[in-house]
Amino acid sequence: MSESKQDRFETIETTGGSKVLRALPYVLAAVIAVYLLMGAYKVTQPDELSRFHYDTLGKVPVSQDGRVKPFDTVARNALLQISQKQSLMDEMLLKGEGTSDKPAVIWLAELMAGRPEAMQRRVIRIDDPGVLGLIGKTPEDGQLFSFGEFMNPPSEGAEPIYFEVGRQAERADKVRDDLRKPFDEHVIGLMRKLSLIQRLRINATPFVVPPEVQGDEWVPIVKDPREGLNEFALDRKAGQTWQAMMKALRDDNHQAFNSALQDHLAFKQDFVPAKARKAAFEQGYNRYAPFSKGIALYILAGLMGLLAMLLRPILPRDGYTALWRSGMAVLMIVFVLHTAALIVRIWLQGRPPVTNLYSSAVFIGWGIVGGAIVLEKITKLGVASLAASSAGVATLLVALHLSKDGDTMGVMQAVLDSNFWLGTHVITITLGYSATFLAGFIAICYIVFGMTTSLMDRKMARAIAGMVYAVICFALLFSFVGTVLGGIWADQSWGRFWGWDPKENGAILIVLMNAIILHARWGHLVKERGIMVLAIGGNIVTIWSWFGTNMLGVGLHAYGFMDGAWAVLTVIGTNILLLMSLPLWVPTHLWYTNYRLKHPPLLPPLQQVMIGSGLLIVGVLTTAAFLTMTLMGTLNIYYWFSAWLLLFMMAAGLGQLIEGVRVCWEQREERLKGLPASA
Amino acid sequence: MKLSKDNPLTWLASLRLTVVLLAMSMYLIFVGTLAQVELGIWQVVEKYFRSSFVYVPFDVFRSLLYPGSEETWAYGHWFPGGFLIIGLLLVNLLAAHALRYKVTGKGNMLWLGYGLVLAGTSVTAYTVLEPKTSATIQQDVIVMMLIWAVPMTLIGVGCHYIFGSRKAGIVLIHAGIILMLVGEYITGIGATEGQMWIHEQGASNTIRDIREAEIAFVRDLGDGKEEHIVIPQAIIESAGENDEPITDTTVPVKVRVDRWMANTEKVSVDFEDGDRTQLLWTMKEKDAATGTEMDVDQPSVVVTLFDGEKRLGEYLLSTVGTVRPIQLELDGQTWEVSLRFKETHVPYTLQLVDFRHDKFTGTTTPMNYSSTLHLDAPESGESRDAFIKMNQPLRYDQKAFFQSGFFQQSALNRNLGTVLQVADNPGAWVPYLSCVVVTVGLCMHFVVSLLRYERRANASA
Repeated sequence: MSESKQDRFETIETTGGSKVLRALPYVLAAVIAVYLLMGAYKVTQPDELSRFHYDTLGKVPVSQDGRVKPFDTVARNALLQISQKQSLMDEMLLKGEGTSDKPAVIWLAELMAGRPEAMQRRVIRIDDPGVLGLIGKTPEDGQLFSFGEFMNPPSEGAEPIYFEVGRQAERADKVRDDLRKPFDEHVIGLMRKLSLIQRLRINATPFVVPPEVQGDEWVPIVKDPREGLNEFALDRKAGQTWQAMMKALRDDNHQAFNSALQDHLAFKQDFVPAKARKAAFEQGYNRYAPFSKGIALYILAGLMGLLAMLLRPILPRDGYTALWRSGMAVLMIVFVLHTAALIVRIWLQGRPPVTNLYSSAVFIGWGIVGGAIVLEKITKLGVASLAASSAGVATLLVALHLSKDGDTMGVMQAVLDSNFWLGTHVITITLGYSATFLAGFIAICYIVFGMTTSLMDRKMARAIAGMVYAVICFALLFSFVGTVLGGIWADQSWGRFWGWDPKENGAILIVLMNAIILHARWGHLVKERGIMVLAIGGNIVTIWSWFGTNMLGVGLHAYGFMDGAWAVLTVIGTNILLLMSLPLWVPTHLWYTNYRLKHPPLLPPLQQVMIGSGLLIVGVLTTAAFLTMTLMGTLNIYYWFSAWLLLFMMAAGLGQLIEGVRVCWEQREERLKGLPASA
Repeated sequence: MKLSKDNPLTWLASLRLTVVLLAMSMYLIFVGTLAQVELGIWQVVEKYFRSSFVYVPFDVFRSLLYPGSEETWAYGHWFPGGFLIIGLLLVNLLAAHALRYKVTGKGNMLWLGYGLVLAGTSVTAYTVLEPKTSATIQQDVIVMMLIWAVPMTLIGVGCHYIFGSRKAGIVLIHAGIILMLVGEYITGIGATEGQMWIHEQGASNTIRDIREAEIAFVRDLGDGKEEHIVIPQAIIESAGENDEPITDTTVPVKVRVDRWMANTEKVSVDFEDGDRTQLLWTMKEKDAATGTEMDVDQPSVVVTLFDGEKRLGEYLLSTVGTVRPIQLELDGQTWEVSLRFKETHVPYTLQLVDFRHDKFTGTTTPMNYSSTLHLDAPESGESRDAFIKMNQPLRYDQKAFFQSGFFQQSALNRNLGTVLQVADNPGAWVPYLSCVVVTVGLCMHFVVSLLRYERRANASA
């Protein structure tokens, strides 16, 4: 192993090398950029393949839950809450109607128009066996049911199941929070879904008629189901055109529908032009789904970072440069996409980027990636890229999950309604979360690769330690200033700087954790390994502060809480604790990196390659199987207690594979040198 | 001062002790958070954070490890409380500064450093002590923080000349944190908090502390004046425990506390009166409100009143709004007796001209609350309008009046009036100042570290 290869990350090649390799990052960046821009162009084009112009309908601004938003958002959120899915693709494709990205609109339009098939669509998701029993079903009947199954009497003269669900929900609602059983929670949840469908079906929500006089408000077609149609709304043009649309849809008359829709939208564009523009834009944003694209690109960037890190000892310098630059190009592009999406949300909402749990996840991911790009530019090792991309994927997945709670750009409670404090305290404290997470993710890379592979040479280890230290310094700065700003906000809002409530305590725990790490380092109480272990611990503290404290209020008491988010947190926390304790149990001289400093590889190279690939394949396949089964909902969450093991297995497999290949390569070169030079 | 390794002072000033104490404070805060699932937030603050030692029951972990379980866990362990840990941290910090932070400046630069620190401190002290500027602090604290940044930078530069570039920032950071702890101490002993309820078109000069109750004897003196005689909660509780009647010459009757209930709710009961069944109500005791519920304890008390040796009767008093006070006729005077939240009265009144509570279209989510008030202070002759909304309090008479909520007739869903949170905190400005100190210190320290890192990197290149 030559010295120059050890130093490679300090000397990324800026000139020379193969032209093809030099061009590679640019080509890759261009391809991805074109893909993203094409997607953006596509959503600006109306997609009117079906007879009914549902796409235009999606643009129509309506008001729901206090916010004016496009019909498309209403449909997506409603369907997401009811069925946990944004689309009903299968059924739609069977009927040969529409393309895949707008079924939510079709479903809602048909529901509001009162078309019979709306009652037959299987959209209501029920997981709890008790509730299935209540409506006379078994798990074999599936998880999705149609609204008709609740509204139509099961037999002649019998009462619709809807009423029984209503009675059960009313009873469960009276039970004190901490005494509710899982069945109670689920039946309340089911009733919430049913009444949402019912209110949509009778046009009580969303509010479609905009105010015509200053000071008025949006009104719905039906204000109170007992009073029937809202005469006031029907006197207005918006109300009349809306009713015409619904009637045309009911009669299956697409020409009448399209022309009424045209009138309706033109009226609103004329009347509430700013809202109409924003609504149209928001529909485009929904269709573009930037964060789904972001997840895919983060995975790509992460893989390239991983490859760069693994192949650094093998690749020639220009090859490594090309690989590293390509990874950076992907990461930068996805970061730009992430940033653009944040800016669009800020503009649509007229608020700073973090307003609720969903947006905090998006912003934390953004902060991590932004910080990691700077680190990667300095260190050029691929480690920061890998950490950033994993964090990007993780936070966006969390955000996607949280979006199932409803509108992600919902209105702010009066007490939180302060753009100044949302823009200062919330942003700062969230950046503190980001920095603590980033340090933790990098430290995980150090521990996993240090223990299982020979990649963690002294220089790399030192570089990683430097990164973690720097990031923790920033984490302390942000979390401290953010916490104090929070105290100031509280003092400004209700005259109390510090109240020891769970969220405040969570914030101060992060500050203390970072302070402990720094003081322990300054006092030489811990060395590299200790700092890494503590930095990983920072993740647990941050997760507690971010999610745990919220749950303390709503559900630590409640029955059945273990099936949900609490179980996920327990699993993640246990895995992190294991990642913290394993490096303490295994003496450093047994870490594969340190072992290899003094000893030759354990196995001959070919066996290394075989065993390495074996471990890798088993690890990847198991992880993939776990993921798929989790997504399908058939895997018990507790299987994920073994996530740390899979991680170590895959890392060890990769390490052995790469080392084996490298030794083979070196042996081959030795042999070639030994041969007499031929002409 | 140079000390050997074995000297106890070295140990007291060590970073090892710092880290241990910080870790202990993390544990304390964590269990103090978990305890709020079962206890009220003020109980937790008193028990865990404003104490020297605390008995931590293992039961606090039950909600974390076995969220559905109802069984209470036994045992627990003693742990240093907030006061002790913070006190030790302060000792540790001061010892560290005494031992490790040496004056490194020399000659004129050292004197310049002392001068700058003195100048900065004087300017800051002036802004705090001078009444006019301290009023500005109350009104527009953000501006004040920006202004404070100037003297603080002077102090920072001064520290640079005294302690050297590496330690200057840290000195400021630690000074700021000490200041913050001192501020919390001042708040802990000097701050009062209460609520003012004002009916629409009504006026009030009464501030209620919803954390404490009192038995009040109120007599109308005519001319818009009233006489209030109160028995504080601490005396009621101890009288209930010791089974000794409360006799005091100022209190018009002898009070025997038969039963004290810390938190109660009003419940209906069927009362069999011969062949008739009457629907009556009583107060039922319930668990204290916990920190995570954000609810208020509504105490009730059963008392027997004696006029001398004559038994006047047994009464149920409660802070619950619908329980009316009882009337007592004593020597031709009419007394209203009630259990109420502890009241203080201010020499001015606030009249509620208008209360607004807007909601987002089609939701019950509040968009804003605001109160238009009229302030009348006969003593100073002040009479003016004031407007309060979320995040925009009225500051008057060293107090701050915040929009906190409203009360309504729930059956009709009609708003009846506004609820203002009234805070009186002599140490309110301290956290703001300490925030500036620490921020300037952190920035200095990180800039210096970055420059040093860069210099080293350049030197090695």
